[in-house]
Amino acid sequence: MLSKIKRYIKIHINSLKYDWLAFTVYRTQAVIWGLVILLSSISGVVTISVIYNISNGINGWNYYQVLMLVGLTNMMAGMFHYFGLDGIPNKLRNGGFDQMLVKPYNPIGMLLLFRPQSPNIITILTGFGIFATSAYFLNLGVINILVILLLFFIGVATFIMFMLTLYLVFYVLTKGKSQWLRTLSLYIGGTASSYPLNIFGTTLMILFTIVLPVGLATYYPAGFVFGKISLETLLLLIIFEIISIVVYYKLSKWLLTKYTSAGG
Amino acid sequence: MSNPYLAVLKIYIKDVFAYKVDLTLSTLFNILKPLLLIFVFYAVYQFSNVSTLKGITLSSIVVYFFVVGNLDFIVAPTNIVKHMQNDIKEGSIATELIRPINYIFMPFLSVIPADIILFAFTTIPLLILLYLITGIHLNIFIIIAFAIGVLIAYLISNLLSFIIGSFSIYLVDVSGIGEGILWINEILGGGIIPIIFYPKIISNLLMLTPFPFMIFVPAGIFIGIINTNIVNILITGIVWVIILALISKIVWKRVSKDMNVVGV
Repeated sequence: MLSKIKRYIKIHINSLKYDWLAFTVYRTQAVIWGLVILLSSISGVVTISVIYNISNGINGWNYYQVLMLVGLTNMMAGMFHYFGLDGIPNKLRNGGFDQMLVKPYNPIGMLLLFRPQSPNIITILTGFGIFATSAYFLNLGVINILVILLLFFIGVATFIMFMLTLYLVFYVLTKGKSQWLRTLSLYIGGTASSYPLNIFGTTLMILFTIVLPVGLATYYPAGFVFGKISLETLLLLIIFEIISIVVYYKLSKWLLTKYTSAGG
Repeated sequence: MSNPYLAVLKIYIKDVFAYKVDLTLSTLFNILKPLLLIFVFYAVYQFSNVSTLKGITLSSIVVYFFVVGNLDFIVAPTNIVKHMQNDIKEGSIATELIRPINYIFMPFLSVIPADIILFAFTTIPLLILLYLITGIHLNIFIIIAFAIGVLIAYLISNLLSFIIGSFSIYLVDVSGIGEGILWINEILGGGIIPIIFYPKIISNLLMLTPFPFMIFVPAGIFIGIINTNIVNILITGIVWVIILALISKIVWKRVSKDMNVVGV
């Protein structure tokens, strides 16, 4: 098992190096894309900065607490792109998955780990920078930061497995384009996860926790450390996340057996 | 003999309806996107216990985000960029150039059908619905000014895209610049927050750029945030259209020469 993990990590690192070289070989492009990624990352910061500048902000949440949610959202969005999730529908539709099927690796592992989109490291790092800045101004100790990050990674894993399953379900059902999933996950999910979920009302709060689980990586980890989420709720959510990851993984593997070459 | 421009338009209209599910769901989620920002601002107004922020009421903000959500996908300057990049990089521009159509119009013809369909079947009905539900004050002058504002927004957005797309001859991938403009538009054009909320010096400076004309000006006219100097503002927008049209012409003339040299 350990040697298998090592092998996957090694291939992932090599793929990452290759992708980074391919990205930086055209320097002007790399700089432009870097700036674009930075711009997209700071839009959330601009919004909440303006809101807190002209008003009292959001009840029970100070500026740096909301800023932390923005940072975590950026990290989550960066990881979504880094693992090439929005490229999966095209890979399935144009037959790009064929070459993966003939390799002696786990298909889910190959889909997520063998084609990292290295430029998105910039988004992850920008998000981490925002997170670290807010943690500094909130005087969070190392333990609290580690707790948030641990809960964040479990939440991101749940979200990524959920999106993978959703892409595969849509592919199996329609084999059509799935631009709408990008809008749903990044624009709607990304906006929701940048703010405390309780402001959206109970229905939407449940929706962004269970149906489109963006809040698991942002609102709940930060909310727990800020004393807004109880330990019982958190433990229940962790159990839910672990079960979800296993179910989504099994479901994705089964859905991949429905794959037909060259997108059918 | 049929008009070649109409024939091309017909092809692109068919293309719009090729993926109906994706089109419907993408449009639906684009419309739903502002809902979340409305929740955010509802929480902000409630916590601040004020009826207006910088002179804007909560109901105006609600309408603003719905109008922005409706205009957003029309003024997103990425499709022309993608079209031109594909033509130039894949060499299909060679075939396009020998057709009985001036290539300069081709990228515009490729996006106009989808934009008109979306505008006619989603934007206009939703704006009428907003008017009926919210009872915002509209008169013939505002309706005409809004229509001109939308047209200016559309022209500025597409001309910017054309200029960026023209640079495909020099750069390997210009889609990054297109995405960058999209984000600049979101941040500086009023896409994520009305620019009136920025500090006065910044909002005044922004009004000197073409970005507010793509989102803030038409939406602001519709909801009444912009209620003085409307004619002057629209004239400034028209000046921007003329400037960008001239730049487009100059850039294309220059780029066309280089295309002959490299034989693309």
